Amino acid sequence: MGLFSCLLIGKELLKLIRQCQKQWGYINGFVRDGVAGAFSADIGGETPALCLASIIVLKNRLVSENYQEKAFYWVLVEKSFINKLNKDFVIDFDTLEPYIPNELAGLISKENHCNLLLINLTNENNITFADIFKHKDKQLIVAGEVQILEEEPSPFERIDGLAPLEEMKEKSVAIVGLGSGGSFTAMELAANGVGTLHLFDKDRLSTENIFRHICDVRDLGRKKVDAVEEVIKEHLLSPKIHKYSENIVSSPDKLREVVQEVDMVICATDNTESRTMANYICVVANKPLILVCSFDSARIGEIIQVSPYKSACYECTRIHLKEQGALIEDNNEERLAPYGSQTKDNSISRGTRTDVLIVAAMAAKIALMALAGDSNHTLGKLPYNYITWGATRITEFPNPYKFDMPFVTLYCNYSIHPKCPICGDLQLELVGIDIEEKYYEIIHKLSSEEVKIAQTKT
Amino acid sequence: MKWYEIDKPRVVWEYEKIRSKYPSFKLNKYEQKLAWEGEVNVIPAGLQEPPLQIRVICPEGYPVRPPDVFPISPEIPKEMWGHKWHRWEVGKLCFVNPSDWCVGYNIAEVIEKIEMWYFNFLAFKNGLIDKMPDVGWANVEVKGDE
Repeated sequence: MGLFSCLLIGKELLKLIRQCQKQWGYINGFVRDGVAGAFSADIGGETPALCLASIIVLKNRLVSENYQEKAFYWVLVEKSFINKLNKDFVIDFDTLEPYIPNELAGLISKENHCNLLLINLTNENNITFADIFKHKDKQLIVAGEVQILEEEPSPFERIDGLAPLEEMKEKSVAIVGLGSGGSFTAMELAANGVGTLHLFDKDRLSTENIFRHICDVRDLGRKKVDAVEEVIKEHLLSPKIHKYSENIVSSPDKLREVVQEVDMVICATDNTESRTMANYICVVANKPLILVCSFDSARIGEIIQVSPYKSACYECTRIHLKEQGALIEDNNEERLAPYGSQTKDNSISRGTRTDVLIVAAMAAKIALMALAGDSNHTLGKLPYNYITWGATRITEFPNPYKFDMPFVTLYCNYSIHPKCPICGDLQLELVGIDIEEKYYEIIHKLSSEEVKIAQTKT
Repeated sequence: MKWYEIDKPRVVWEYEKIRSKYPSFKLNKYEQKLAWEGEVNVIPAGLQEPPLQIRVICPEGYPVRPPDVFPISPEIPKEMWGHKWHRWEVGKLCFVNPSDWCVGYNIAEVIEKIEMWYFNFLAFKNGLIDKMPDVGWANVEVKGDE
């Protein structure tokens, strides 16, 4: 018996019930743990009526193995009765009997427990869902709750005015890496109205992922791009989603192609090589990039905003950090070590869900600010390109990884480093050379060589 | 979309560097990838060995990923692979630890490394040294310098 029941039903289905010639009928769906879902209704036609919102009902976790034909009844009643039930909360079934057809009253009186949807014909909002059960030789009715589902939900009502929704709808973002941070960031962008998402991840969801991930045990074994897309849509968000399972390091051609058409790239991978690749591709394509990661068991979060040729790129920040003595050397060798080497546990990425998701949420917010641009006054603008966050007091590392107390956020601005192999003074070596002209000369010669080789072969 | 279709300055930069340091190397396309072909010819003193003709292929992930260097001629026996010979099983020459590769390196530097590899390889193959050094040139005189 489920007291305080709640019914989920589509607005369109209710309308169909009100318009039909019948006075009462059955509803197919499920009733379980005090929740009922109306999938379709018997309104007198050859087949039960259903509506678009029935798809939402079908997605409910409780529908599995609980779906049944004739799960509960519906009946049209007078407004006064619904008002009485809502006011008194519990009433005798005898009180209801005069208001409903005899045939239905007869059926209900034989049941130990059943549910009934009471609908008023004229008033759209006059509706309630009742639990009817036997208690000490009496049959009682308890009022429940009804959630009317929109056929086309409007998920952005709650943030209207808080985010530039119209602008966001036109924005397109590529997200590289759909681990716990990347998947969460993707969801946040979708929830803020970003119109198009390009999702990149080569992996499938495994058991060690789900502890922190937006996906869960129902998605084990699925490609992360597929699972994340579905979870986003299950939140009634509907950005256009494009999915790519390529390894962006060994097969980066697709990312290069996609980068040309997006407004921004967010890289949420956990290894230096893929971050270097995303950085290289974005800088060369002159496309804004945000790199987000957590390290040292997620005690430290790092967000880098790359505006190509205007401020430091990922490589620049690494060189700056090395010069500051903040980039830890690997085994005393004189070479740049990945940030990831600061964690001693490379086998699995350690860290609490809370810490990882705080940093991912910060990255999403920074991405939204950058997407909204200078003209937007709602979100504001962050005038820094390098942000670190400490989950706890951390004193063993130098700045910008030194945090005097938990929850400290540090901000810096790094400039382009002249030694950066991607956006630094490499260009100086090309001074005096017409790049376009020389490039076409090289490529043209190459094509001619190819033709020659082809001719020789034939 | 290939790296060399987008990063025009890099293509020109690499081209100019190789032109000035290894002018005999030629740029080709090999299976839709840019590839430099030419010879390295630094031989240990006292040996009669031919130059090594090589093909330096820039993979899709170049320059974030290092290029692949394959010997063309003379043929190096298949069984000569592993750390002993500084060569991958598929026949590629090992000139850098992949994790040490940096996006700022260029093909001219790679060819220089391959000159060293071939020199060390010949010195080891011909018993002039006990093992191929992990870093640097074998301590053997260079032909022509003696």
